[in-house]
Amino acid sequence: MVSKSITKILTDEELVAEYLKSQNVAYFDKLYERYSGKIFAKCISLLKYESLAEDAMQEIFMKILLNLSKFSGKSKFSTWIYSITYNFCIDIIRRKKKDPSMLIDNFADGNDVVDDVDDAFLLETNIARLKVILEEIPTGDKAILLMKYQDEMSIRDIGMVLDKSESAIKMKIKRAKQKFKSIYHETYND
Amino acid sequence: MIRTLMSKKNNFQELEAQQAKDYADVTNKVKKSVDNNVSTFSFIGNIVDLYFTKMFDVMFTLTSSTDEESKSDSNNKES
Repeated sequence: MVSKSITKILTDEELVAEYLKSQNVAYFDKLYERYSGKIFAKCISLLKYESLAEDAMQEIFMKILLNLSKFSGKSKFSTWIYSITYNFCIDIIRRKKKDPSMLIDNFADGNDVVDDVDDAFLLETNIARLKVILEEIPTGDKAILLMKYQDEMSIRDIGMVLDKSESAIKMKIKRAKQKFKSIYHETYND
Repeated sequence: MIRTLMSKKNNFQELEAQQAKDYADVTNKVKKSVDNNVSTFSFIGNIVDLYFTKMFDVMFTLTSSTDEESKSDSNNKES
């Protein structure tokens, strides 16, 4: 039996290594405890329906468990599992074809000038309003904003998740921020 | 950049924490399903470990003894 105090001090990467070595579920339980809330929050934000998010989360965790041995440690564990989560949810939305904005390539990739919106404007938006705007914003924009502001992923990591170049990601973030701002002003008139 | 974001107020993360709290019962429910799947997988794994390895051992022993028998048969015929 592994004591809770031991799992508490281990990093994610150490928990993965210990789990793979011993197959002791206590290590995986700790990872679940650390990430289940965050993963469910992403699933519900992207998929909108609780039942869909619940099924997705179950499949995501099975995927994580079955692929743990493939985690190479090149990226942070959090980046790796968020990458599985985003790609899984994006696939579901694509398959359902309910939201054409999820086709991330639909964003214009041109280099036309987009005004940069201050990070503070997004980060300090009141939580209730933030929730409303994230429900309104196209899913592709939402995913990219969650990666940048909620998960604090680097441009390089976002590029790896979405299989895009860093310059394309920078442009997509700019556009998503602009979209956020315009929805904010349309909704709240201030 | 990341450090700058961390030092500022981040309502995206606040929202995430709030959602995680609101849906704690769902995450507990999912944990039970994941645990059940894990037990099923380990059960299947144990069965494979226990029986299949033994079955292969038996098959290997049988085939090797059959080979030896046929060799000794052919030797007897030749003599």
